[in-house]
Formats: sequence, C-alpha cells, structure tokens
Amino acid sequence: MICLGPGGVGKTTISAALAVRAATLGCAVDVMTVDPAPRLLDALGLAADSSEPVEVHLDGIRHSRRGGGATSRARLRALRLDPKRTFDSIIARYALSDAAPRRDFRNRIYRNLSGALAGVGDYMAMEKLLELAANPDTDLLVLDTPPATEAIDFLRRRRGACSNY
Amino acid sequence: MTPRFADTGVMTVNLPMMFTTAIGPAELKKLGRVLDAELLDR
Repeated sequence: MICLGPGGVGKTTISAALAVRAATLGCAVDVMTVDPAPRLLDALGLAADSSEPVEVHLDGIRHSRRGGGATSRARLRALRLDPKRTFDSIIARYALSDAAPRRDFRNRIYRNLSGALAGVGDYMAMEKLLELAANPDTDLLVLDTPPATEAIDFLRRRRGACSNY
Repeated sequence: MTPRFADTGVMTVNLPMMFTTAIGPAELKKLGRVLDAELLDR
C-alpha cells in the first residue's frame, strides 16, 4: 500500500494508522517512511532512526485474533528510510571488489549525487520497498512516500528503477 | 467541505480528528478503525 501526495496532507499519519490497524487485525506489517521528519516513528513511540525495520510494541497487536482464531503472525515493524544509506548499500552490493565502495563513498561527486540527486528519495524508497517485499513473512507493506507535487512521478520511477537492474 | 466534495462525486472520508504532531498510539488505532471501515471496506 503506497500513500502518495504533496507535503502536509497527512500521508505519514495515514500510513501509520493503516499499518497499526492491519497489525491489530493479525497481519505481519512493515511500514516505511521517507519523510525527513521522523514523525511516524515518534507517533509509534520509537526514538530509533534506523534504515532497518524496528519492532513496534503496541497494546492490541500481539495476541490479536482474526476470525476467532489466535494468530502468531501479527507484528508491526517501522523504519525511516535513509536514502543516502540505502544508496550506499546498493553500491556495496554491486561493487566488483570490497575496496571499491569505500573508495566511492569518499568521492566528492558520489557524495553529492547520492545525497542531492533529484528524485533519489523516490528511487531509494522503491529499492527498499522491493527488498522488504521479498520477505515472505510479511503480509502488508505500507509506504509513506516523499512529498511530491505530482504523485504519479513516484510510480513512474518504478519503471526506471527496474530497468536499471 | 465534505458534502461539497461528495456532491461532485469525489470519494470522501470523514476522519475523527485533526492531524497534529501530538498524535499517539491511541489516536492511530482510532484513525485506523475509521479508515478500515470507511476506506478499505468500500
């Protein structure tokens, strides 16, 4: 589930609420935000600023029931995407040698590109989304996208991202 | 505002609260219940 739209319309809050609801109903849920302000993590009672999912413990999520039967799958994990860190992990994954990423990360041009390239947040969100979607233990992914004037741009980036691999 | 949008055919959902930075777990659960019923069940 992807929440799209310009800044300030409530994407982060809606994303968190939908994720909490699904987890309460017994689903295994990951919710990811790329909002620069860690409001989603604050709302969920998390202080951590991690690019990896962090387990959220809320009353009503564990031991929840669906259709009268107890479910053990129910969980909620949240993460705040760090586009720069995700960019670095992609470089490290496809590097030809162990030394190559360390050299690239020090490169001034790379540092500027990975942090300020137009749309890099969208690309990294899609990259992380695909990575999390590969987890068979997850029932639902909720993505809170970066603010965008034209929401459709985010979906168009999927085609560009997939063609790069 | 909501009836004006609804009159034009735009799908609308009445939310139970204003969004603020003070929203906590209890508010998220309440909001989630409304979204589930009003948005996802359509």
